[in-house]
Amino acid sequence: MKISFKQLLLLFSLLFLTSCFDILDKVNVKADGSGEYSLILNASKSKTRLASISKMETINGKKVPKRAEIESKINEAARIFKSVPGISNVKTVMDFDNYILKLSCNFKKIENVNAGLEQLKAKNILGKMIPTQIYSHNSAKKTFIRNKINTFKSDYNQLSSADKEVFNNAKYTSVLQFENTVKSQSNNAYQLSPNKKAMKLEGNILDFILQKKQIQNTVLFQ
Amino acid sequence: MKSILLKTKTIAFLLFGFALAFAQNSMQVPSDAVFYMEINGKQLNKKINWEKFNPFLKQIDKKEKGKPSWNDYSKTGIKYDATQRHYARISDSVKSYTAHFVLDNKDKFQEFINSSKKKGLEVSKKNNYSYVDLDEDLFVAWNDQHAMITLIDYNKRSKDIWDEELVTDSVAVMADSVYVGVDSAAAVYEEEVKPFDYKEEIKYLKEEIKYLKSDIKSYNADIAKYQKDIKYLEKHHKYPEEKKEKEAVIDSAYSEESVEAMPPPASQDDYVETEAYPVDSEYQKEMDSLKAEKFKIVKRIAENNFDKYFNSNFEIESSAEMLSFRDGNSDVFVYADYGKIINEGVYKNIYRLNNFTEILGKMYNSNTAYNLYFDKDKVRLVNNYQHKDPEIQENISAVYKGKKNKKLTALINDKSIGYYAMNVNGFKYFDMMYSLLQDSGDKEYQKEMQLVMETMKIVLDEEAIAKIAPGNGIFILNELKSKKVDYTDYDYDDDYNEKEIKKTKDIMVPDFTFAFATENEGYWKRIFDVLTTNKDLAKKFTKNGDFYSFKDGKSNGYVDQLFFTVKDGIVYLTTSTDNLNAKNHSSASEKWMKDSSKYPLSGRLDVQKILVGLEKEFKSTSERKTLDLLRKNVGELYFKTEAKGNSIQTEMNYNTNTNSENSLMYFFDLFDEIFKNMEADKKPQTL
Repeated sequence: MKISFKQLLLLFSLLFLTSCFDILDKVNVKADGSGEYSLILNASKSKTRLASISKMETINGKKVPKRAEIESKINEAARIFKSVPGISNVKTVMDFDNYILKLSCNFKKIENVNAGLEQLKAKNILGKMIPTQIYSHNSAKKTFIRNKINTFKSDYNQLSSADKEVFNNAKYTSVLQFENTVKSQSNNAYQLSPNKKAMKLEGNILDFILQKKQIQNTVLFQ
Repeated sequence: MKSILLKTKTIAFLLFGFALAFAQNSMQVPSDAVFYMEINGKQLNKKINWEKFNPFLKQIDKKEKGKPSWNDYSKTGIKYDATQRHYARISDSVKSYTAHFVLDNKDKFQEFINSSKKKGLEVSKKNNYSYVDLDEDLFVAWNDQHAMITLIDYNKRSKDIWDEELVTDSVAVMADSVYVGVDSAAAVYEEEVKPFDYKEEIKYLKEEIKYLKSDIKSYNADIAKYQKDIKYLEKHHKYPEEKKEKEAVIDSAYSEESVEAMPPPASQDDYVETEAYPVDSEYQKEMDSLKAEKFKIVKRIAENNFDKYFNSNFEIESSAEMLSFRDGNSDVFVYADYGKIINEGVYKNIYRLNNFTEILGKMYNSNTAYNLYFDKDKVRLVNNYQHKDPEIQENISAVYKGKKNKKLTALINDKSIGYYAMNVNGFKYFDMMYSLLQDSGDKEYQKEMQLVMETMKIVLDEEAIAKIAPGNGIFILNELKSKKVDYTDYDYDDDYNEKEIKKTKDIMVPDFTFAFATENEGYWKRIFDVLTTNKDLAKKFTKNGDFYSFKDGKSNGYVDQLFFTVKDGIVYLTTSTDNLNAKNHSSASEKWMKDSSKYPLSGRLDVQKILVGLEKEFKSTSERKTLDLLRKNVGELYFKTEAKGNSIQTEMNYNTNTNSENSLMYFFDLFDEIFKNMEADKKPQTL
């Protein structure tokens, strides 16, 4: 458990080595269950500090990954995602001036994304404890489920105070967009859009790590 | 008459002889002590405000043990206004730290020890002292007026993986036994050079098996856990729900009233049935017996030390070498032999493996002393470094006798936050290095080494090199300036589609100047010209009038542009050309200028000014709180280094300037406030 969390830290360590970074994940699901998935890691607010850190070899005792290493990891992740049945149009954008990384793809059904994440885990790009069975969609039952994730509390507590600081002001945003209209949801922490076809969950990453805020939601469509 | 005189003489001799025979000897600080400390209780005790200090110590005690074990730390039976003596020793197998105290109330001290020791543990009585073990490696002994506490770390020297030759190296074995000579109790247990003993070998191999078993055991535990995971998943098809923390677990055997709160689960693994993993009792037994054996040895060493001390006249004498830099007026005096610490301590094997011992041993073969003073408004630490070889020390001192350079000090101005100035003799640096290299290295290759040095002397034109940078330099942090940087954020429309938006924020960037003297301007000009004309480098290096500049293209970093030039025997590197223009000087900055030219090395940092500059970086409420606390309390740092009395003396000052009664209580007040803030911050964050 400890190792896997460290692996996750290593993967995005350059982005995480600052107290200001945001993660945005977005799922857009059409009526037939197909759609688009995107993930954005934005550390632009800390780009001055990151520009300095990127010139260093280590920080807080950890190796600072070189640009080429990050590019290679992201490209490998994209290549693995491309190989998953049902996943297409995998795109990556790496903006090292603003420290923004984007990954997006189309899926035939949302479970393809789960399979993609599972593959990333199998290839050690994602840590073992990173949840992979995140979404499920049942057209017949008219439901869309965002599953519960494990707590990282004990892993977080084992980090040094310098590493903990990294998470202090980090933000997480999750957006779910649907072609169908939402009838109800189980987690009211998600804001519902005026047209009832989208929902958004925002909060400090620490609140999700420590499970002060819950991520799971069961959405029922009209 | 003659016979009376003869008898008187004989009686006098006899009396003197008996007096000598029966007089108890004073206790010597062991000659192999690598660290020695004297706490000037007479002075320091006056500076401690026990009314403030006592609750603080109790709070710490409570945090560690759940409840405070002692009420008044000002009354422990220790005579706080007497001098305390501490020392540390390192040998191959024993590392120890010992402290000697004077007592003013033996009964109180015994009470204090009773509150610290394990319940039911008997105090051992010896002829002239009592003692008890506070821990497996910590022993305390006392009589009516004196106490001694000793911490002993004993590790039996096993086959040395670092040095294959050691097994047959009798010199090394003999060296190790120096400690043994002092502590005869340990000698019994120390290894000696013996012919091959198959029984010993069997014992060694058994120990190896124990080590390997411990590894297997940890893997077995993991395997057992995973097997249970599999069983649970097969049965329930999911992991169990996480148990809520801090929830009282009611033991059905007890009544509803007597709810017994169990400690919160350490992790999610707690769902695993309570059945314990099989314990390897054989392994456990062996571990216990090893532990007991080790304790026996440590206890014997401690007893031996106690015997020696309590059979002495309680005068602790230190060698003249240790005390050569002691100032009787300091609050704390420390002597450290870094040569021994480096050569005998933790790095010993690493250096030996890389054949660095000789050269590093020679470099660190020095005495270092510290005198610490808690003055009313400042803390002062005076450090003296002296190489044990007078010739090398002379060469080191010569480096610290540089010329003054007023052009460099003139760069300090009223806005300056801090500086680091150097006025050393660069030419003498070569002599120092040659003297350090002389006779160092492998003895087998001494002639080769000398040849290398001679060649170096021929190849290196020391004078020409020294002219490039003769040894005067200064770094000045002028101010922290605000700089606007843009960044990308995301906004969302009504359908939660993200949209990139540009925002700006202020960051603090340093404005500094680095300058050093040169007697060869042409050399530096040629370097700068190459930078501006070279095909690859010219993209970033440009020339504008007398100034050369470096710009990375993007303005993401803390330093956008650097300017450099050579003028009037000085090479300048700065973030702003304006820094090189003449500035007005107030009396404060004039003092800084004077100090920066007076000493071979000196530096100053106005922490208050830095905090003003960094104000924008403190954003959240808790950060602001920390900033306020620091602003209220931090002072100015100042240091100077010079060659003084056959040593290199560095004096460090930290001005406190607060309402605390003295600088010692200043630190206490500061820590106390930080501690309280931390505790206050923790409360609302209870999860």
